[in-house]
Amino acid sequence: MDRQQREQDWLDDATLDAMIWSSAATIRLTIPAEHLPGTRANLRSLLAVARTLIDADKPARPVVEIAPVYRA
Amino acid sequence: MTGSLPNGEAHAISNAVNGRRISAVDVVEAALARIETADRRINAFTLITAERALARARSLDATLAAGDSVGPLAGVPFAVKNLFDIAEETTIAGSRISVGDAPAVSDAPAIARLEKAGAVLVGALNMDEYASGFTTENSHYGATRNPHDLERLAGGSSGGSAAAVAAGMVPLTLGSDTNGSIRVPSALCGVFGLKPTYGRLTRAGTQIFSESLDHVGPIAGCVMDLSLAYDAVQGFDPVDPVCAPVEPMLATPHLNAGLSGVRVALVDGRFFRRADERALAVAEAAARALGVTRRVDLPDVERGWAASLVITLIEGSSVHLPHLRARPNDFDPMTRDRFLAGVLAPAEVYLEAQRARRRYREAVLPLFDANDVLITPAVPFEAPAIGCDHLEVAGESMDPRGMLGLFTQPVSVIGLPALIVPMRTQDALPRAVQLVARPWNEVALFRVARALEAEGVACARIQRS
Repeated sequence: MDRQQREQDWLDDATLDAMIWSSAATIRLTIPAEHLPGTRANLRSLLAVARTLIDADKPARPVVEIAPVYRA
Repeated sequence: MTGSLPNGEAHAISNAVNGRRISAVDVVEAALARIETADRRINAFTLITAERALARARSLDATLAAGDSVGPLAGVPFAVKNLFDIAEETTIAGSRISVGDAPAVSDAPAIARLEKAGAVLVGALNMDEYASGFTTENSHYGATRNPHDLERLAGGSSGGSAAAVAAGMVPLTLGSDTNGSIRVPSALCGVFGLKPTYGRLTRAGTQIFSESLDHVGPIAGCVMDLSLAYDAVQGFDPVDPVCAPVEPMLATPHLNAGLSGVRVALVDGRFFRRADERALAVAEAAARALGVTRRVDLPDVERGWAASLVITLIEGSSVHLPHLRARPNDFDPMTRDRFLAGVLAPAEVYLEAQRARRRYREAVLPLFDANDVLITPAVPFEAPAIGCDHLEVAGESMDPRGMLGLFTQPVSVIGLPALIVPMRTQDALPRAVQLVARPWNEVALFRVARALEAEGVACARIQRS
């Protein structure tokens, strides 16, 4: 599959299902078949929003802190 | 002891109880009777602690009769979102799954601090399952209804907390706020709500939804009541690992200090225009009432909103992985599918969201070099109908279940304090604005909220009968 094709297929059902099954197996989670459509829809939304945060041209920097820590 | 019940505001009740013009028992009995009647329509309460409340009220009356004082919230009935631990009760957090958990061994410290100030716990309140949602359309316990239109949403996830105040059942409640869960229902129900600085108030003894985003805070029917509750709960608590070791900064003594030296600006820009005309108009009206002409925009706000969504879903889901494995069918279907997606997201997505959050915070904080308080619309539209999954707003198709938090999420994702102010309008449903300040400057929020209230442009909508 070339890069352009992968880009087109990024959020299609088959690609998401492959990701869901492999990730679920990794964390020892079984997803009942009837829950797959809802899981897929939510994951598609999550990844679409997450992608707006990815700037491929910007170098990554350390994650300094997880919570917004303020010191009075 | 005889006397008519005060008007339902916490400070009026406390004055009357402290002055022994009315007994705490009379106040609590009246609140329980009001809950019995009104909650049949609203469905805000999931637990009523009548026996405990009456015992506590009798104890307060005995203390007062002995000549001792009982605090600034003497005899004030209050209730809490059902994710706060209540001694000897199970903390259900809006779920069916947690019903089988062992009862809590003690009250959450926030409850204990309110009771130390004289308040009386009367029950626990409905919410979205595990605080995941903006609507309180809870499939296990039913939807909480908006007291101003029973076919409309109360908002969420602290929907019971806002509706209980708006319906006049209690003058004061506690809620929690991850992305807007105090602020959204406060706005939709027309009451005041505070989400303090991240780390200000102890979250110990609460069911955490998203560790790096969760806050607790009060909801009330006027600014004075909100500040009395906020002041009572302040103070370091080493049990909550993110509670900051800062001295309490009391708001109540500064409420009527006026606005001298407080610089206020209206947040403008494309992102905050994704709202209907009335939402924008009430924000303009609040600015006009304060003589505000300065306009600012939150830099990079789209990325702040996106980061909040990603971080919440991944952190919130991870907590529930064991139950997703063992009892997936016992979740609310909407929560379950959301959480299943969250546990499957790649780590790099989460870490990139945390980086974006940091960059966004670094971009926003300098705004407070020149401004003390920012005004934004609270929510993009009025309370939608229960079950509504689609709205057209400003030419944009929106799912209200997600978009109710559009203007609250970019604030809480970086831990800024925010206060919801219900505005006095002719609209059938409440409208509100959100006030935002730099970290630890809640006092400025209270001063501006009180100024709007004193001007008569802000006012809670409480159903007293």
